[in-house]
Amino acid sequence: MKAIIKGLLVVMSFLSIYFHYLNNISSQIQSLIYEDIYNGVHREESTYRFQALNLDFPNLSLSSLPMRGVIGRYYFLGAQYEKALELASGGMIDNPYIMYAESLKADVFFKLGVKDSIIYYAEKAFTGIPNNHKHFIDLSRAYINFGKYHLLDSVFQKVESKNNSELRKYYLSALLTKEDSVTDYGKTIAKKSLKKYPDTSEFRDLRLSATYVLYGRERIEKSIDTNLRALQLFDEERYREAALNFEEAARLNPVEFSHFENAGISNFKFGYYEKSIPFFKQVIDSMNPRTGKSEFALAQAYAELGDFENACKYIYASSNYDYRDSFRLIGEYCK
Amino acid sequence: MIFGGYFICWLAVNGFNIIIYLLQSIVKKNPDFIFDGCYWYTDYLFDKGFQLPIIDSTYDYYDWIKGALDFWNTFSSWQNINGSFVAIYLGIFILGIVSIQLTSSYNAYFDIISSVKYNFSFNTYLQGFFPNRNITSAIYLTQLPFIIYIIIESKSKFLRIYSSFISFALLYMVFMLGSRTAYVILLFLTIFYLIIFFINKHEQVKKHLLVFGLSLIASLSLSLFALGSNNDAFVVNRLQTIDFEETSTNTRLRYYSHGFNQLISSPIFGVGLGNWKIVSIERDKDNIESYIIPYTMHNDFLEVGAELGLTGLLIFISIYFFALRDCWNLYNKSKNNPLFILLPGVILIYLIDANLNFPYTRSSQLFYLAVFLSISTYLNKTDESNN
Repeated sequence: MKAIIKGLLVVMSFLSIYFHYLNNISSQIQSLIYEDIYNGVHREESTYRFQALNLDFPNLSLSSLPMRGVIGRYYFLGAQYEKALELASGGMIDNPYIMYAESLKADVFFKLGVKDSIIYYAEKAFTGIPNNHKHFIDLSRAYINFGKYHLLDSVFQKVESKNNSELRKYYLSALLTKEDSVTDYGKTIAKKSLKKYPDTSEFRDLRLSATYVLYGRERIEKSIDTNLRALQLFDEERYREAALNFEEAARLNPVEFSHFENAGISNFKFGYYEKSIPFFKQVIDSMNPRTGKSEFALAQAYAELGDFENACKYIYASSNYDYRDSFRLIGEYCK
Repeated sequence: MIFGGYFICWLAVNGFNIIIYLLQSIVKKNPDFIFDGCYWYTDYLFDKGFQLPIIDSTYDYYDWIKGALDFWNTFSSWQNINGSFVAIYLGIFILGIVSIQLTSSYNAYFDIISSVKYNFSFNTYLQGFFPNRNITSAIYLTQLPFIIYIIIESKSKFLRIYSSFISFALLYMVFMLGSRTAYVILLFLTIFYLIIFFINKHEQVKKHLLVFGLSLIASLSLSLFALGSNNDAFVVNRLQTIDFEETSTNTRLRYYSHGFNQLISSPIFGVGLGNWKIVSIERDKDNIESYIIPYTMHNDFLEVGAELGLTGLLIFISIYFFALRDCWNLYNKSKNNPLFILLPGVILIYLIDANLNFPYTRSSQLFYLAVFLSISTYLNKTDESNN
């Protein structure tokens, strides 16, 4: 009996070595694949060892993605759609819940233009894991391509409570593909987004999409043109004309604080100090980009009007945002 | 590189085992296999009996059970050596390991405090050889009972002084790491030593509580002195961050709820070994972002229950039960032998960690469990009452 157990342990050790060897090969290849996934670039050289890969063991990656689905993505990118579909089908069995293979199938069918299958797999992937960016984009793309714009709202409603800024951006961008289909719900989301997300580089695209949804593409593009013209006039030191153009740009796109700020600065430069004040106040009180620039300009406007009490107040406010030029004027305005 | 290292490590361990087994067969010194492989065999049956894919949990269980068998095999070959000697021998070995581990953490710590005041944001630098502060703290604490055992039982003055220093350094580092699981472990360890203190009047046994208490108080005092009471790394402030609304606590509770529901929905055989990481996706799909899934339950027992049902859970619990029963038998044989404090102390730490984290996936922690299982069985078989 002891001899049998010992023999069994020896066999177990050999098996252990063999299975760990298989796992090790898979892990080495997976490390390349994960690098590709993270960087969003599927490199040709990552595929060189696919022939050595045993897709049955292990059949899931280190993060539970089906290996067949992951490898299938490379075949899809190499335009071998049949092979990609075959692998994706296997991947759906290996892990039926992660929806990676379903998403791959949606991509393949999109490439092949098989309408029903695109929608079926995109819906399946999104229903399985709704908060996945790709699944959301896949389904939005499917609905847009087949004219089902009215369903975009219901897709976003499923994920709205998660407050995911990326999904919000994709949704608003999707709405822009057919502006006349934008619903009141879409406009409400756009309005909420502008209120919720600050005007920083992180949310610039989101805010831009929301602005387009709220005011329409034509109007926003017109405001961009007007703004460009105003900037040119400002450079030519034609400040009053620049101010009028900035005002017009602000009227067309009232959520862009720089239009108001530039209108104020142009009026100030022209000598219309009193006229410049409402523009700066609009930026500070209603938009608050927290740059300190409007506070700085407003302090200068008050100083020019001899109101040093307000000049001091706003130069301090500007310095609170670390606006560099403000510090040199504190001593001058706050005596 | 890590994967490669892992494979080479297993190649070495298993290759070494094969040689040992073969050599033992040749020289006819067969150990008595009381561990008759039933754990492994049960594991194997569950592994093969379910349709969903076999993935890496299989390795984890397989590896540590086999590890326990290997250790037991080694200890069994020391048939004429008494238990206390084995514990001291093992303790010295662990003292060496923990010294090296602590060096890594303290290197980073001294680098930090030479330029800025330490705060909680630096804790990742103190992880040492392990991937996060929870693992580092749990591993350090698992070794503490062995260090305390040497302080009390060693005849060498040098070893006693050195071990005292290490036990203090170990606890101080645990306070610096700020792992909340570690605080729970320390709380239970204190209660455990207090209970022992009151039920056993033997002086040698009482010393365990005294040594533990002194090390704890000294390290806590120094951490207060070094950090100040307002520092976010200080134990009181770390404890105040425990909140049921907090992401880490909230996520754990959600996973436990999923695990419990899974156990109820398939109570007999569960979903199959290694399949929690698949079915958990379905249960937690509304909270999953990208493809980041609830890979582990953060509770080994619930995870085993979800994967193997009550059948597997009972077998899993029986592993600890029989080992603890061996400790109890050891205690009944010799109530004055401090070994009966050492072993349950180690398993208590492991069990608390296993209820809040997932040590079964970490070979660095399973090593200590394997040692515990094998040594408790071995010591129970040796005639301790003669010592």
